[in-house]
Amino acid sequence: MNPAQPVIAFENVTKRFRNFDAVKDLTLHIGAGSICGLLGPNGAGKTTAMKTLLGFLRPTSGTVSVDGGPVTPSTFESLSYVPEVDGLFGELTVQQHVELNRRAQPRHDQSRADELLGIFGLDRRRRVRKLSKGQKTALALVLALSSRPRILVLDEPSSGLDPVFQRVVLDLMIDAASEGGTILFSSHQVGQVERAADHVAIMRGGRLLLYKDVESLKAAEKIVEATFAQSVPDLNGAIASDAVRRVERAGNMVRISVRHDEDEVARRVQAFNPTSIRVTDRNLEDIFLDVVSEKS
Amino acid sequence: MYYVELLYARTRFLWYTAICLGIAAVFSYFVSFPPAGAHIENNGQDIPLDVVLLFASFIAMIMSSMLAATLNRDQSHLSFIWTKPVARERIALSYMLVDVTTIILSYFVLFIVIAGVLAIPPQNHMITGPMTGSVLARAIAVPLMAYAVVEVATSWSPVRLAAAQGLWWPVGIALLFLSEVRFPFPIAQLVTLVNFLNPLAYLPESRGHVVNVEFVQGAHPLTLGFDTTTIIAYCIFIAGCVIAIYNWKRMEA
Amino acid sequence: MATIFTVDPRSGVPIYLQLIEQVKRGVALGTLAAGEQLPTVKALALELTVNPNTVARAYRDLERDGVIETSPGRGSFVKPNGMLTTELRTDVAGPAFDNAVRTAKGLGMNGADVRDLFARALQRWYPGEEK
Repeated sequence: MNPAQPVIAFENVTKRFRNFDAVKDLTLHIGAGSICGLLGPNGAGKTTAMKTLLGFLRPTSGTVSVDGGPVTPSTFESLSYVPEVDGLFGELTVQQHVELNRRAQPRHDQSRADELLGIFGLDRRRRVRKLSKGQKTALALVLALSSRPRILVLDEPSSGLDPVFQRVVLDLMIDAASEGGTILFSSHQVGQVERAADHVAIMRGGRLLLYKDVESLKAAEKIVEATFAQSVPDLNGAIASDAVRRVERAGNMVRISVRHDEDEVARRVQAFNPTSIRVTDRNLEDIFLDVVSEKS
Repeated sequence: MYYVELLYARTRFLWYTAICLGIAAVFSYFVSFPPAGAHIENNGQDIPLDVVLLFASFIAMIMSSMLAATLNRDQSHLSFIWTKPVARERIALSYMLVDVTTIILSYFVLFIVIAGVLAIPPQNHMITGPMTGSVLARAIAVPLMAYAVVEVATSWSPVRLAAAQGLWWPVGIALLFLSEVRFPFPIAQLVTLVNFLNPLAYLPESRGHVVNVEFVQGAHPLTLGFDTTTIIAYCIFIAGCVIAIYNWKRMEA
Repeated sequence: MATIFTVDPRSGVPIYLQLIEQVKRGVALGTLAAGEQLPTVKALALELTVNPNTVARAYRDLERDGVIETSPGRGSFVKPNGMLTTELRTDVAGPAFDNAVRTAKGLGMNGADVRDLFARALQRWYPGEEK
């Protein structure tokens, strides 16, 4: 395995259904040890992209690869998938599912499975049709993680889980990544991606709008935030420049989105004597909303 | 991975056997202790084994129906079973092995039960005929063929097609009736061709004319031998399973 | 002595900078003793529920600045006589002063007012010290 080679790679993948393109020309490389958060509104093509990666769908054009090669049954020895809608068998019990896993997955680690069942508090004897949505998701996670996979693909892994378990899911992902694992997960919750992911991919309408590491994305544009004792003075003349993208006012506060030379802008605002002024990175939620609502 | 199918088939087999035994028990009771006033015309019957074999075959097709559409039944579980390091062909094959074994087992259970009931009156004798071996081969082939045909019909789509499990009966019967109608060329031949895939047409007492194939109008209809037709049935069974596995493997879900 | 780290991903300050600042503050204040072991990258990432690379970057920068040292296999430790404590203190306390003066200016105070405020604060926190 070549360390420079992406673990998960989409190359110009397009998936066309009868009358529309669910995924358009998607090129995305995810490297080893990376946690990539896939963000996008409903219908953006996130699930379709994942299904194409895993072999549930065939790309209309382009290729997908894992560890540099096509996806075959043996790929799943080191890759685990947690779908959004569980594929569990209602008639079987929790224990029977673990047993099924044990038979089908050579890398199944029973002690790990036991540990995870304990963490999520799942009753082995219960039939799956009697479990709540959150418990089913938890079971799917237990089954996926029991084999200590090197690659994890999760589609909305926190849906249906209460906040405590949502943290547990993030922790499990972080744990896997610190052992060198590669993780691709889609989420509606920008906060999760902001914490746990080192790279974020934003999709809309089947297209990849952006793929960048989270920190430099947040630092790419700065916000000069200033608070004034009374109302915000008219700054426009002073700070007008092509570096300034947007100026927002709210009460005594002004937030100026600046593409570069933020210190210069801050200095100019300083001249108006604000009570406080600081230069910050943008948060991911704002970036996401901006990217997705841009008319392009 | 066949574990799941095993549980499914086993449940159905047990029910089926229980019902067979239940019905058999009822019949046995009435045969052994006929209610006062009932007359059973029985002066020592010679019961042809062939008829029993074929009757069992017909009933065994019920088990085929219950088990068929196996691959289609799993379409809500694909996210689980298709993400394991097991080849899809192997999964499908293991399911089919379980089903085929169950169908054959249920055939023999049924046969033994029927034969058992018929053997109760001491005057009855089972007699074999010259074609008994061939008939047995055919009797097993037909439910297997029925299973395979329904599997092919349902294995290619991620949409639930469980209705096919029951629907094929009226379709099969309708095709038999159609074969009785004197359509002009080429419709009659077309109907005959389609009946090649109709398991009901392979039961010798039915009217599918599969045994006598009239592709050529006129005085020399093409006649296939009994055993040849049985071989065709087995070939369709095997081909059907292969096609079903291929369809399922290539399915997009 | 256990130091509790906290981070806020939404504060606008990069998480790794928040961590660096907290470690420096700990060393400057003495809550992180010389030679004390820091949590492993994995342990801290799990505790804070943040990406391990973020923690790793913080540790790398801290090592580059001479605040901590890492031995492979043993872990990361606060460097004894590392980045001079006076430097650290200035690093940590400096921005606080800066902000305070700026706030005062923004409220319309002049230099004399600021010095006045400063004298009062000194009197309060360092009573009896020579001016």
